[in-house]
Amino acid sequence: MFELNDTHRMVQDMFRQYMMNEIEPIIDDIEDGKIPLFEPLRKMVETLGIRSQMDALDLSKPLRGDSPEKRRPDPDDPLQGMEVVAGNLLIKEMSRVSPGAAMSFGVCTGLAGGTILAKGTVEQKEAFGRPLMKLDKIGAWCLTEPGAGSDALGSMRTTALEDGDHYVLNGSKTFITNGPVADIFVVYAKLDRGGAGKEIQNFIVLREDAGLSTGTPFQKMGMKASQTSEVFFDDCRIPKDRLIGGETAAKSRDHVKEGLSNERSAIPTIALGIIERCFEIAVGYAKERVQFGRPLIEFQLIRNRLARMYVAMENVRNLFLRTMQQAIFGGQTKLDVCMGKLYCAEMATWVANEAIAILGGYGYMREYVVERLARDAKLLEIGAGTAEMQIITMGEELATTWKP
Amino acid sequence: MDILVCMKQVPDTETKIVINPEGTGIVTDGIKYVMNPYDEFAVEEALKIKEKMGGTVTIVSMGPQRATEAIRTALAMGADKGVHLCDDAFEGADSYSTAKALAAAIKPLSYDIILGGKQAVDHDNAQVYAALAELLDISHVSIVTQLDVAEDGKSAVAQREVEGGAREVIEVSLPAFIACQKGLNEPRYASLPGIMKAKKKPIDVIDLAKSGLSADEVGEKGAKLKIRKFFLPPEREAGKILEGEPEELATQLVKLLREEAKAI
Ligand SMILES: Cc1cc2nc3c(=O)[nH]c(=O)nc-3n(C[C@H](O)[C@H](O)[C@H](O)COP(=O)(O)OP(=O)(O)OC[C@H]3O[C@@H](n4cnc5c(N)ncnc54)[C@H](O)[C@@H]3O)c2cc1C
Ligand SMILES: Cc1cc2nc3c(=O)[nH]c(=O)nc-3n(C[C@H](O)[C@H](O)[C@H](O)COP(=O)(O)OP(=O)(O)OC[C@H]3O[C@@H](n4cnc5c(N)ncnc54)[C@H](O)[C@@H]3O)c2cc1C
Repeated sequence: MFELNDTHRMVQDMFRQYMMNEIEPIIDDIEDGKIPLFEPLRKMVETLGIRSQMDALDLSKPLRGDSPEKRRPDPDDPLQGMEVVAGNLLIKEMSRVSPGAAMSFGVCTGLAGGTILAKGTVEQKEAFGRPLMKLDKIGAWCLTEPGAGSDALGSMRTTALEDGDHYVLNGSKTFITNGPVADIFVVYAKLDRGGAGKEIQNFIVLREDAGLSTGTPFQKMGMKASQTSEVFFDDCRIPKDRLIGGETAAKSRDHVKEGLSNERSAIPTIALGIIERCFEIAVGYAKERVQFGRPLIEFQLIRNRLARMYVAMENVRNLFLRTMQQAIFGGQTKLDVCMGKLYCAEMATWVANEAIAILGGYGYMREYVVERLARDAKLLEIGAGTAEMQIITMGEELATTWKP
Repeated sequence: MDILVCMKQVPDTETKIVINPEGTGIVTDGIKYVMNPYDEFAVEEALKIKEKMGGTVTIVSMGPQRATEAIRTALAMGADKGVHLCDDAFEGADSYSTAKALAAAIKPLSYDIILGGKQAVDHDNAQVYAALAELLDISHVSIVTQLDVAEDGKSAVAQREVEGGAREVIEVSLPAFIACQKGLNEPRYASLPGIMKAKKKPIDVIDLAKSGLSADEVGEKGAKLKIRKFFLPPEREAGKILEGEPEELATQLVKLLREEAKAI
């Protein structure tokens, strides 16, 4: 079983200290739109040394050179898998304060940047991937369309028509995280070369490209630290070298589906951040708050809630550790990904709502943090594939490939 | 410049202190330990001097096994190496026997300046640095809020806080011990690459034998001070609100002041 070692814990402590000292005090201003989110995030990646790590990345080599089979746990190497662990701890610690900030950061680096680093040409990685990883540029990842949500690939209408040495994009995307502020858009579109087949490919579109426009930010229930909007392509011409991976890009649907797995694998991490913080706040409050002459924590009904919340937290933590282990050493199945996404998202919403209950009227107030985490948590059940989509995929796997 | 920093690991300032039933100490179960906050200023100042003048920063700490975590934190901030005085014999030390052990570890080292926090927030004695400076036969400047080391590294000008918000400016020849106060600087965060590098930086562990001291010079045995008892201040009782006409109130108040509070 994969566990955090001393070095990992030191990284976790440092991230936590940073989030509590530097992000928590300004999070209301970020949510209210008084501070643009990426300003403090840029300072964060600079101070924590993440920028310098990204500068040091050798982009001429594949991201993970060794095959998963060759990666074996080495107990003598405390830094093994550090990039995976540090990345996840950063998202988790950010989610303790603001899952919305974590989502925007994750979309920029993990989804937009990650897609380019995983599949882009060396030139694309340098020109667009690295600036996204360093937050020099802000990235968006555009899959969902007004008519294509759960059935994102099947119902996709956005097209990229081959036209000499350009592609011409037409269509619209919606619910796009960082849409209003992004510089670089990773766009899923059906490539039309004039023939019969239209395979889905990823393209890089830049803010300054003529024909690209974005809508006004949506008013949302939660994730308010993160801005979301529509993105429109209206005869948007991009040079051919913006096809991610170049002309040799894999042509199957599976190649674009990998990105979807990435997105889902981040959910246990965000969920754990939400749950840890809500649980800590709830226990702390239950010990202090006196009603009927006794601290709440002495009441059986409160203990019942806390005991069940604890079970959920440790289950989610185990899934979080397992997801990291599989990211480092390989062996992740579709069932694993969907299970983690389904369970952790539901537990995050549930634990956050339990925390509100324990805090009573105070839990409903902004000052007490848990209402923010609860509103943000709900998105985990919707984004990256709804709960139903996880269940549908799991059902399919259980009916076909799963063996006892 | 060879820069030393004396650093102690202490309970997190948010720890809720509970005294053990015997009254001989605090309950240490579940306590989170951190670098003494004032020592963070010392580490930061040492790193700034190093960045300006070159040299090495060595962290010197006395404490149990767990103190290596705090040493690693300082290494992750950018210090070069650690010296860890770690032996059961060092336990139960007072300011004097702490200084004694630190001096033994420091004497064989080459140093141009020694920095430390103005006090450790656990026992709040604020005496170790004075005793240490005495044992090393160097000067010390306490409660320093600004420090400028001369270009030749032979002297420094320190500003220290005195009563009423006034500042005292002291020029001191080096080596000297500088006891750092809040306001001196803004300690940096350990960075991710810093933490990864810290893993490979050397920590020299010094036990009693290696320190060259004898068991009765250090720890509880070498202490000049015996702590007889720990207790928490009594919990404050709720105040009394008197009710009635002004004359009645005055009579009640005088009665209470005389009989209960015994103030008059
Ligand atoms: C804040 C926010 C940020 C987002 N960020 C991004 C982003 O950056 N990039 C991006 O591409 N997308 C993003 N999304 C979009 C998100 O991925 C979609 O909202 C999600 O995939 C669901 O699609 P939909 O909203 O169209 O719902 P629909 O697909 O219309 O689903 C509605 C309901 O019907 C259910 N349903 C659908 N089909 C079935 C079925 N066959 N059987 C049973 N039930 C079914 C669903 O589970 C759901 O409960 C974001 C969304 C939000 C809210
Ligand atoms: C938006 C809003 C509007 C409001 N408007 C009004 C108003 O107009 N007028 C007004 O008078 N009040 C109003 N209230 C106050 C509201 O009625 C209280 O918040 C509510 O009664 C709960 O009290 P509390 O918040 O002090 O929580 P607490 O009483 O501290 O309860 C905290 C938690 O402990 C649980 N708990 C408490 N005792 C026990 C026990 N013995 N055993 C097990 N569990 C226990 C509770 O169920 C809850 O889960 C409002 C509150 C809000 C949030």
